[in-house]
Amino acid sequence: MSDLVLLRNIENPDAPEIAVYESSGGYEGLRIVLRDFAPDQVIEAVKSSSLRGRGGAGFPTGMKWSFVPKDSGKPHYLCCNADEGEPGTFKDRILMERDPHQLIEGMVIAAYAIGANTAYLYIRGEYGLSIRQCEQAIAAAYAKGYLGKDILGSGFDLDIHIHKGAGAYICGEETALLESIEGKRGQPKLKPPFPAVAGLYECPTVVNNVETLACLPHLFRRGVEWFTSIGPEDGPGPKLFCFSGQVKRPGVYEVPMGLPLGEMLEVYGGGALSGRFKAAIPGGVSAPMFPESGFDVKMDFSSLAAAGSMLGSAGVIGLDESASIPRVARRITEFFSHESCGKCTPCREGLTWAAKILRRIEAGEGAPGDVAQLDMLCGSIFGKSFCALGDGAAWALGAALKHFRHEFEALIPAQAQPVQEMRLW
Amino acid sequence: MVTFTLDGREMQVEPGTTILQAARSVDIGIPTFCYQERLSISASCRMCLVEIEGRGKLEPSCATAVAEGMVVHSHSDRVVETRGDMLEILLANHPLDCPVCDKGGECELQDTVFEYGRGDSRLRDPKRVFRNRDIELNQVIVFNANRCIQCQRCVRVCEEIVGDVALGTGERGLDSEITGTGNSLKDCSHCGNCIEVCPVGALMSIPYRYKARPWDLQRTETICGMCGTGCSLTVETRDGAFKRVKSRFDTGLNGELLCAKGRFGFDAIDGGNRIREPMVRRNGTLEPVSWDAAIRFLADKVHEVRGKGRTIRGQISPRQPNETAFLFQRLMRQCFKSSEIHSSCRFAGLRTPAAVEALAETAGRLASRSPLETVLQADCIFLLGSNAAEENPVSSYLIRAAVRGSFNRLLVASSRPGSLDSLAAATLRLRPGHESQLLAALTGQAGVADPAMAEFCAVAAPVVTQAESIALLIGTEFLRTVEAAAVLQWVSASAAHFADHGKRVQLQFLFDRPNQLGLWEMGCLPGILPGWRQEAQRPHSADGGPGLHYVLGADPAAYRSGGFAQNNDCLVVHAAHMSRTAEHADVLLPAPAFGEEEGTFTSNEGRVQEIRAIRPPRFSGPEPGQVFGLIAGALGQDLGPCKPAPLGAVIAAEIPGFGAFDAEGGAAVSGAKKTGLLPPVSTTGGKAARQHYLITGDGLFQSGQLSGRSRCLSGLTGGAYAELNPGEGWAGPEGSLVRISANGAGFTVPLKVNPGFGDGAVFIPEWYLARHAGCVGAGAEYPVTVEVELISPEG
Amino acid sequence: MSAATVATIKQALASQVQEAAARYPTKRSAIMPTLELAQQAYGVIDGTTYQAIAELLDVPEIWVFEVASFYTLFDRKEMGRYHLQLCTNVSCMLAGAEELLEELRMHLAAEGPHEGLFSLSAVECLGACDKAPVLMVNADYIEDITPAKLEVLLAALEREAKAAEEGAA
Ligand SMILES: Cc1cc2nc3c(=O)[nH]c(=O)nc-3n(C[C@H](O)[C@H](O)[C@H](O)COP(=O)(O)O)c2cc1C
Ligand code: SF4
Ligand code: FES
Repeated sequence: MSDLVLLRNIENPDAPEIAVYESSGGYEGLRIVLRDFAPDQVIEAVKSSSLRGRGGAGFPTGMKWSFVPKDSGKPHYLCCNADEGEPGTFKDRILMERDPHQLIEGMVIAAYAIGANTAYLYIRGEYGLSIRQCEQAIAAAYAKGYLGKDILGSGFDLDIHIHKGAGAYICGEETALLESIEGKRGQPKLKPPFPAVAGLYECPTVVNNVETLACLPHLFRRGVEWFTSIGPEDGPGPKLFCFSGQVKRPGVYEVPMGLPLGEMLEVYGGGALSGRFKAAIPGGVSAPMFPESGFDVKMDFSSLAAAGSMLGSAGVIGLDESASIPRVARRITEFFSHESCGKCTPCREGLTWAAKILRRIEAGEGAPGDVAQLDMLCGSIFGKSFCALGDGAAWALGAALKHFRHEFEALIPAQAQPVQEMRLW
Repeated sequence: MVTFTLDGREMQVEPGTTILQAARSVDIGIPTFCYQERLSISASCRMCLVEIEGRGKLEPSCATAVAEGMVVHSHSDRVVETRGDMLEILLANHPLDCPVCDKGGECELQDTVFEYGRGDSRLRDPKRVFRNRDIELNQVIVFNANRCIQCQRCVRVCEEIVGDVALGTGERGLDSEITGTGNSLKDCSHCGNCIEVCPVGALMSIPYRYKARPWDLQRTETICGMCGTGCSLTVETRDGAFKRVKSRFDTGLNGELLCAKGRFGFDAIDGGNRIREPMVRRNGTLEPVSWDAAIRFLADKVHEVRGKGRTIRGQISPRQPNETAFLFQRLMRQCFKSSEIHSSCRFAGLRTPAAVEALAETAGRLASRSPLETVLQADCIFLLGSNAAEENPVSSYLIRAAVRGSFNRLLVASSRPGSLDSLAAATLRLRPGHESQLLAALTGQAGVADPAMAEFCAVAAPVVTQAESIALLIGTEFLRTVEAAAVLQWVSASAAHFADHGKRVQLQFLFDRPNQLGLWEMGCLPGILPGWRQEAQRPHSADGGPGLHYVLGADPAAYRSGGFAQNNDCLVVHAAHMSRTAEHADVLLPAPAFGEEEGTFTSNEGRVQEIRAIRPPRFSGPEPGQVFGLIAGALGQDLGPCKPAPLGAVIAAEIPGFGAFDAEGGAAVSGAKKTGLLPPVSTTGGKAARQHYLITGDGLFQSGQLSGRSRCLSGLTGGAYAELNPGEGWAGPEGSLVRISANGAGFTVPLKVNPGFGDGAVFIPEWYLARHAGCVGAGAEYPVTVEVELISPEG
Repeated sequence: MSAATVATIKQALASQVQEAAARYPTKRSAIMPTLELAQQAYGVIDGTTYQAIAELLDVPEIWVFEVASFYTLFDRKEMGRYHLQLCTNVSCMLAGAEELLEELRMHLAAEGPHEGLFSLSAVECLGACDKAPVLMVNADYIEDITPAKLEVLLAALEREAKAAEEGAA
């Protein structure tokens, strides 16, 4: 386990102490950056590392930073997305609770690169311990001169403020997150303009995930070459996976990307809780599930995308033979319908209808035609909603319907009458 | 220019044009719910999705700019099917209570379903129901949440254009609901624009509730009679009875926008106490007489007064149409041999020839005759001496829309605080009449002593200097003051000054009455002939009051400071309604009310617009123009054509270029004006301790006599109040009172604290002063100096 | 809460709110932190709170309500001494959370009215799926819940509440 990167301090209960963090090479990456790199060079280095965002979309981090205009004449902002709400995901919480300075150091490096003097750390309100740990880490970092004015004598200033979420999954979506910091309802905003150009308070803004930022200290301490040597070429670096659901050893593991899903579930997840796996969700509930027959898919950004799913938040949920797929699909759909912000028609209206139908099927009150109705709803939502929440919901439900249609149909009583089309007028 | 292909047709459009705008420009229909011109783009309803070749996803046409070489399909199978899908899921939760819905027949959801809907659905689970009873959000707005489709147009119009932020959205997801604070609307202007923009029957008008079905209504296109903004109104009647006012989205001046006065004040047509037949005072009492007898009586009086060498004075209301005004001044000048023609009892400052001359220069020659919206494109908008937010609400909405998102364009200097203050780069509370001081300082022709003014200038000067174009929007309150002439002269001098510095300057007045500009243009000003021509012979002012006073539509007795003299031999009141003045009349002649006559109004923009009757006048007899003809006849004279149609030609002949209007942008003020000696800037206003100056004017729900006859507006107005800023130390409880006194007389009204007011200013609405407190204003100059005493309810 | 008025809330929160607002360039941004402060101080937020916050931050009152009603962590109803929030999302559901929820409901109903002791909510993923099912008791996570563990927990909470009340009396 000695080659752990992000989780190298996981077993050390004193890791949140700044001295402990420093003694394991902490804040060295920042020192190197401030000493040897101009902001542009930081961006170039991150670009050449091929680091891709760990928040869900897998967008190349260096490229995102390079969209920030150099001479906007406005303040720039960095926002760290610690709203972690994707069911099946808990890696960011572990990072903040067990090793908060790793994140703070990453934030300073990112802020330096994009010329931000203010950063907001958006932590979901439920994460009480994460919030406390980060507060303490920030205070300690100020005291040691890693934050505040003239950081390490470089002339660079940075303030980090924590903004607490208050129970809204959608605020993980980057534009909704910015709206939320602005004190509004967390509803996504139209893109373009992209946050890099007009984000928080209409100023150039970068939003990055906790894990993405936590990679940065290591990247600069150990070099781009070291970084690209880990995992697949088009999206390398250390990566955390969360295992939960019907697996024997749930938890967060640092695993090289590119292993087949099935192997990962066995080796890290410890295998199915009872009997065999029936299916698995690879990257949080927005990511379409694979039936066991698809378990040879490689767990990296491109392979999963090619196979019709996504790495997403890398929350792997195992489903064994005892799991009812219609029930899982119902719960997932209820979740999305509860978390829909209400802005766009298809997501707001469509998901609730899908949930109603799924509940009815599960209760044995389904009728022939219901499954087709669900197909229709998925079709009306997917690719048509305003943000990716609706897409993810329809995508996930669509996969369940596709791979396990028979399970839905089996719940519909044989004697049930087909649903009549209802004339509206 | 960008070239792209839409539905197989190649098009060229300006860069930045959205697909939706491009499609609408060539009459390709794309359905929308959340989109509305003037509002920020939401792209949330997803009705307007179109297919763009090479992109996997459908894209919202309302939010997608055309790109070079783009190939767009707005009616492909996939697109049309998606529209059906969106409608199906919208209707799944919609109550489909169209038969009892006020919106039935003019509902965008209904119409869109008619065009794109499938007409059947298998979504049969129970619908979401918010509640069974509608919520009355306030006295004019009622809300049915079940019908709402969350397009958010109401919320956006309320915040982005009106500026109230009264409406918002509660909860989230499918529970999202439009609401105000605690299910009512705090800080609501009652403009009803939210009702207007609602595509379904979710937000509805309480006065119109269950009154009619839209297809049973007769529509009359006319112009609002409240203020000079001149918004288009569609007045809807059934069997001759007034039902409601709507704005005209597509073709009307100011589109969907109206204010509370415009939208809810038209019921004034059925209010007030009508004058139904001619009457003449005999032995102290008014007796009905025939038209003939009344006119003969009047003609005799004219002979008699003129025989005694006394003058005849005319007073015409700025709600009279141009045609009537033109004939009125003709009657006055040609038959009565008098040039003593006044058109606003409130503008005492216009009584000097210098003021009238300066008015002719500014309003007559400098004012731009072009749409306010194009004037507002200027880099700097300077709102001077105008309380537009209260008196010309829709103009202020347009200003808000114009400056939205650019906080360095608007400068506000006015006597009262208003909703535009928060958008302004600099705001100054200015005592009416002190506009000249500010202009002198801003153009660098005088220093500033007043610290607040200096602070304003420090911010405003760079804004003005950097602007390449300036819109000067001038209010009218200073016309009540003795400094009127000086201010007007400084206005024209400043306009010329800015023009001399290479700026494009456009000037417009913001009059609080609908045809103020028109009346003056028609020559209803002493010493000014139609078309702003100087009259050769100066009117001699009447010492001791005129011998005969002919009052048309106005009510000068209500404004005692406005030059109403009772010591005349004969008072003629020609009006639709009884009034204070009418009570004293020697001759009373009935006239049509606003809404019963045809003609034209000239808006603040200089646009000559037709007003139309929604019903015949509620009296029998000749209309005012014809009455003038009859009077002339009785005096052995001929006034010419007296009906609007032939009269138009007469007016056009006498006023060359009448009605000329440049819809494209209009000319700018040219510089290098004769720099005659400017009047010294007034230095009055050092106020004694505890003394305040009393200002007055209209509010959001008031516009003189007319609004007072509207039941709906009267219900919104609430009681009287005195508004002021008692200063930091004041912590009086709610329900405190103010005693206002001057010269020993006084009255007590509730206190309304408004920290936006300037030091020493107290505002009392004019309707209240007119009705109850003449004692304070009597004869004094404006603004009146009063004593103000704050009284806590406990004592 | 009943005793709090707009004026007393404003006074009580003024300095903390000022501190929170200083972290942002606009006062509107401080709405969320201020709602949280109010909730900590008064347990529940209502119309009086909205008005007080609107006045403290000089923003339209409707903005405060919009935010308060969008986010689920703001309590607009009085909650019991212990707010039990059980995650029922997929991983917890697979570990029996929905059955536990039923049990909890029955248990609380059978115990009769608890006079403000417990409030129960089913919530979405709490981000502790490896310890499913997870229950939040006020701000604390209790992991790997089983029916037996739950019973012990509820009994302990009841005792704690009783002791606290007696201590107060
Ligand atoms: C509905 C929705 C929820 C999301 N939730 C999260 C989240 O909880 N945490 C996160 O980092 N990214 C989340 N994202 C992705 C963010 O929008 C954004 O892509 C990410 O924070 C960017 O960071 P990265 O480039 O470092 O990955 C979410 C996206 C959507 C559409
Ligand atoms: S702004 Fe003036 S003209 Fe327009 S609706 Fe209001 S009162 Fe009428
Ligand atoms: S009109 Fe384009 S999404 Fe509503």
